[in-house]
Amino acid sequence: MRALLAHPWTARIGPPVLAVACAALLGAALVAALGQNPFGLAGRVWGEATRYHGLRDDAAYVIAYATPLIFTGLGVAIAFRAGMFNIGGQGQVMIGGILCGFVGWKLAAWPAWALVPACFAAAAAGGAAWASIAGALRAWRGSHEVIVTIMLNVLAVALTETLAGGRWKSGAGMMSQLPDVGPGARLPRLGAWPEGSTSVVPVLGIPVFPAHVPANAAIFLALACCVAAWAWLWRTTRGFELRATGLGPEAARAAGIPPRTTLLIAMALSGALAGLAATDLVMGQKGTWRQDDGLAFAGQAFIGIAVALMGQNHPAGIVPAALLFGALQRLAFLLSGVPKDLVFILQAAVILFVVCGNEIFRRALSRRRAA
Amino acid sequence: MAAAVEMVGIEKRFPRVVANVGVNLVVEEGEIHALAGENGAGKSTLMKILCGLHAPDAGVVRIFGREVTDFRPAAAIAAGIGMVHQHFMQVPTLTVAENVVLGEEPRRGPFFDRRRAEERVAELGSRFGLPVDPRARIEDLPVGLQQRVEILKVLARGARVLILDEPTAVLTPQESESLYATLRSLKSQGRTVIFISHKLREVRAAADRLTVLRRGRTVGTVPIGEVDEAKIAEMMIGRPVLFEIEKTPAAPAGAVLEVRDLAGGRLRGVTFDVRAGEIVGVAGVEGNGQSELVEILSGLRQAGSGTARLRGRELSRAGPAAWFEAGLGVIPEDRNLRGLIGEMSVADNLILGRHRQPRYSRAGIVAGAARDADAAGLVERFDIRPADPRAEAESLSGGNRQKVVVARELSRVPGLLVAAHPTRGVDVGAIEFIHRSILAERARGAAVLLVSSELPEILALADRILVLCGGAIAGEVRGAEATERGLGVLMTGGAPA
Repeated sequence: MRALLAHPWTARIGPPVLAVACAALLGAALVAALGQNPFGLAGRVWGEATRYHGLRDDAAYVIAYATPLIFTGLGVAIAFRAGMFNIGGQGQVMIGGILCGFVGWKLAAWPAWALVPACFAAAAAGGAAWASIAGALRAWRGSHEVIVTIMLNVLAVALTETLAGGRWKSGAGMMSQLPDVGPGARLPRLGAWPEGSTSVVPVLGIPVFPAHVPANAAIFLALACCVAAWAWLWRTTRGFELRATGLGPEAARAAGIPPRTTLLIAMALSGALAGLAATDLVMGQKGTWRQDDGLAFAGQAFIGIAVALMGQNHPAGIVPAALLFGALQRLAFLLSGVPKDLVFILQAAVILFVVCGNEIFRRALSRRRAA
Repeated sequence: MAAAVEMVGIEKRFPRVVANVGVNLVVEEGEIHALAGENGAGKSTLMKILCGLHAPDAGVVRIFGREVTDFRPAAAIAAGIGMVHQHFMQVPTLTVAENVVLGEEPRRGPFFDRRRAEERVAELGSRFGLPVDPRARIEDLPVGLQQRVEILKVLARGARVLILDEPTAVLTPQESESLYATLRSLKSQGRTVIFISHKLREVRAAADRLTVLRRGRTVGTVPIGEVDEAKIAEMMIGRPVLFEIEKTPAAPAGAVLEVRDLAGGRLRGVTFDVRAGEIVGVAGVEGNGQSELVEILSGLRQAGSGTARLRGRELSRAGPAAWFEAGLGVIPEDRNLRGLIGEMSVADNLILGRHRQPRYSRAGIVAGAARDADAAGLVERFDIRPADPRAEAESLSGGNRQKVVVARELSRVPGLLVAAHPTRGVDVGAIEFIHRSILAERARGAAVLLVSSELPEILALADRILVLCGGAIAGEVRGAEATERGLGVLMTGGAPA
């Protein structure tokens, strides 16, 4: 037991696991306070979850909800590893999204093998460029990235609205939206093949998933990004410099690591990952950039902050954390007899408990060290 | 008569670490008792138990004959224990009197009674021979006087036993002398003093008796007259220590570092050379331009004016990378801030700054095998403990952290080694090791610039000594001819003797 407690992983995995347990207990207590039996409610949720298409449906929805959270969570984590707090995921998703839609529309005739990477690149470049503004201001002018990214969120909403409702607008309708992307830019739904699908990679078809769920191949890009982010951070020289700058900015500078370039690279990568989240919406779900969908979707970026926190800013932690928050969103549809706000309370409780848990573990560790 | 402090069979365990095992300490009333030992020997834990910050797992603590049952700070203060911390707990913008009474301010009605506070502080100061102006602001006082205020604070709370944690670490030689006088004055007023130290000289200079701890155990308690420094050091580290470092005469060659009229911050125009195969010491009271000099010479600060050439390359406004490329190795002033990244492993810290060399970076990918192999070699060669390259740097003791920095910088094979306070906060065994390493660099033909506030260190190592005062070079003395007193005069702005 003692050896288990002393293991370095305990301090990383312990807080999130305990936080989930504590949040569940709090949720049960709230349900009881509302005059309901928490076990009864759990039973009803289970019944609801297994109806119709059964748990396959729920699993597909959880994946669908988790997909953008993995991207935005990774983005927050990379910036955090460099010692910065990027809360501008919303703006980066929107700029990435509208560029992704733009490229998918302008190059609509391209074949999938060329158009898909082009759209990915556009989404990443848009997010990276938007975040780099904050990164450059931080590195060269010392402006705090939290303030700048919040401001850039507002600007991004205005800029995308201007473009989607103006120059790049589709048709004469009321809706601010771009013309559809080419068929080659569409990512297949996990359950929508083989029959009748425009699947790029039909081989990946997973027939167990129901076709009506918006979970799509963007999840594979998200998982690939996790692996890439991990390899980059822990296996490349630049990644080493980024982590060194985050953990000991003065020591890193004294060792000759260029602080400004490193901050800028970190912010650009962070924004690129956030921008890639938009591929799920534009290429996987809607097939176009629509301003109101985009605005709602980009709001997910804020949950990405919680995902990064919950996942301890590590790619291997972000995937389960994103799935957890995805599951909570799914839970909102399955609840009956209690207010849906319960889900928001659970989300908030998980975040609070994980913050407290990290602090408790950190202090326990430093006390052991001080001894 | 009962002893002032009696600690018998004290045991304190922390998860994974045993801090004290059967420690005994008896401090008689009215004596100055030194508590010595290397970092991590258990001194702090023992004193924290006495101050009520920790409860012991086993053992008995008696203060003036009364057994302590309640291990809380308030109870320890009530029993007459007072702690003077190494890092002063003061409000810099308040006056001396305000700081001393803080927490138990005298009142007149609902208001703070400033006059009474000042009278009380003046009265305490004259009674114990600790004169200080009660109306002076803390931030305007030199460190020596700030420490005096800290002692007054403890006395104001009725302390009969004063514990001083490494009190001379922040003081000039003159201020240290003045502190010893203060301690003797406290003793003559019937107060008891325990002071924690790992500096042999100050133990010899100030204490009546000495207790040495090693690895959580009491090695012994001896009257100070019965031991010499070599004996104390042997008690502390468990083996004989060679103090007289054997030093062959320097054989300096051409200039490696050429500094001309260099200024920036508090540094107001200095000119000197450091030649290959010699150690140039920079002495001075802290805050007289040493930090700026080291920062400019390691690329962390751009010089305001003047030049600094390393092997012929002008670098006075260049960044760290250019300095390293020209052949710099640097032991920075603050190893925890600038020398190491605490949350990274020893192996990562050992390549920090060299991580772009082809050996450690192949096509942008970290060469983990080379890093780990070299780390294992350095850990062994520099005797870094624990001998685990994967351990986080933060988990190492001060001496071992410094060894990591030294190991990394020496493995650059530098043409110029800038060593700033290389042995600050480092235990006796590691000091010896670091000094030998610096001498070995000189023998190899490196130019060494040694900045230190420890005069014995400079005297032992340097071939030439520059004294900085007010940001300028107040004098240059040949190592063999220098004395502590002579340097002290130059340091404080006096004319050379």
